[in-house]
Amino acid sequence: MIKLDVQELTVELNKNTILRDLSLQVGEGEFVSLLGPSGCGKSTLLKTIAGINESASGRIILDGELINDKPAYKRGAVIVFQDMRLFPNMSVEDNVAYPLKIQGMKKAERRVKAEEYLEAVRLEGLGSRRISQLSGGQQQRVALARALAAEPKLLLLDEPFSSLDENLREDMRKLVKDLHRQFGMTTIMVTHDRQEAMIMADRVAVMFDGEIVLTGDPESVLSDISDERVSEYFGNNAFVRGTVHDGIFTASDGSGLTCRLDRPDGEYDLMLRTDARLVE
Amino acid sequence: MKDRTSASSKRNRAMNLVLIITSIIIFLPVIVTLLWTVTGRWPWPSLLPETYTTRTLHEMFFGSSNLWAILWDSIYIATAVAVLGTIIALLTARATEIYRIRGRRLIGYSAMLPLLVPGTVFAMGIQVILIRMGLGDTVTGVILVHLVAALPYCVTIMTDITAAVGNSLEEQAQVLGAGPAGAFMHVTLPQLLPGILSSASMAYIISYSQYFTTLLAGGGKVKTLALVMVPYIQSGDRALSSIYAVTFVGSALIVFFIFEALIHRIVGDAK
Repeated sequence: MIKLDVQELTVELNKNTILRDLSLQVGEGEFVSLLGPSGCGKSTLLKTIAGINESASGRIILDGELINDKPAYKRGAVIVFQDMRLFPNMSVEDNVAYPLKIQGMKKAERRVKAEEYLEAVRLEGLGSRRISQLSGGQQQRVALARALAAEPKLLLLDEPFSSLDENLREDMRKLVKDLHRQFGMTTIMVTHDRQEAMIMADRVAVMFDGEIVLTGDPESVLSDISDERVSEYFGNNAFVRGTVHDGIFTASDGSGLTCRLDRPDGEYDLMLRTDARLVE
Repeated sequence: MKDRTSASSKRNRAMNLVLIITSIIIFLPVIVTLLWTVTGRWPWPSLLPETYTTRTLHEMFFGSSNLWAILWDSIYIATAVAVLGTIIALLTARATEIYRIRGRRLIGYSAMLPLLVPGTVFAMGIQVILIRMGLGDTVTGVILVHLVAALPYCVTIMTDITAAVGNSLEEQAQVLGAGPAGAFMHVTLPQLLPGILSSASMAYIISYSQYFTTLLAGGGKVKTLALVMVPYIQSGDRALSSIYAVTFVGSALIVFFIFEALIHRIVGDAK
């Protein structure tokens, strides 16, 4: 069942087109990684889905409902930002309980709930602390707990681990995967870390210049060679210019490199990848 | 090691000296003014007054000046200017810094215009307008004139803090389900609190100390503490001038404490 359906979405910011006719479908309970180089529009897509940015054209359908004109607070799509955006005037518990308070839950009840979410992110007993008393990793967990407490229809993670060191990143990846299994929340995670995207996602969508150029499961995306930009992005590639004559490629740089290539005669760029695959 | 300890001790001594000098500069005039409030006679070069009196207290509280009414009017006018000035400045700052409306720079410069024109000049111009509007010699007219004088400072303070706080936390609150008003009250307002207090205090003290504009817009009918203080200062009655000065500063400080307590309570309730 389709949870989120983004259709031909175009977003313009300061008269620049950031997203161009972008389409993306995400299934119920699916974990999708949005992968691409910096500045390709990944975060803009998340913010537009969440209702922070306006779209110039296109449709965003969540749970079968067109949400383009819905304000952010009515959409049910919660973002966890890279900079966490925890409320410094509130304690850890109050941060986590904030969405519950907005929903009108009574204080005693939301305290219990907040503690449950803190337990889920392994921060039990830290509810009374100030945000400034927590480490970066702990703050990221509070941001996750707060997002989960909102019980969103769609969880959007905007490079959530980029400010953490490698050990913490590893822990957080595992935690997020566990939480995804536990809560079954439909999740889109933006990252520019290829390894992270491949490890965590059920499906990967690769973005370039405001467009999604490839989607698929991690294995198929990694081996797909249909888009040169994607192939280049995924591997430590080298390109060798040369010509094919009678099914034999000969490099024109004088290196003497030759190989069989089942292509019509002509000039070609041969891409060499670290996994020894030879592609056009 | 010894050298470092000695350098640190010298630095501490220098800091203490600066602290003592600063304290003297601040507190000595206050102590002298307090002494003058009960001084009967204090001829040069005596270090302390020769005689003491309660004449000033009697004049203040039971004399013809009707101090309580004047004090109430002054606080009322200055509080109104502080509240209105801060609200207008907050809205202006959000329009220019968060919503990034067209012509925001022009608005920013316009807010500074009253600083470029001498107060006496703009007060005379505004007086004509107030009379035409039927607001001449009224408290409302005085509040409006004081507002013009206070707004440049309020807008500057609120613009700076609004730009520093930004709207990222408000965006976060909204995606978590809070409406625009709730997100502002719960998340942004507490961050803006220092600026709000500074802006309100600045507007309050500007209004509280206005003399010429109050005289012009109020036509002598609206009396404030600053207005009744000046004749005493000009007449050379130091004892009465001092007790008015102490009342002026003391009442302003009390109102600042009340402002702070109230704002903390409002924000605390919003939380």
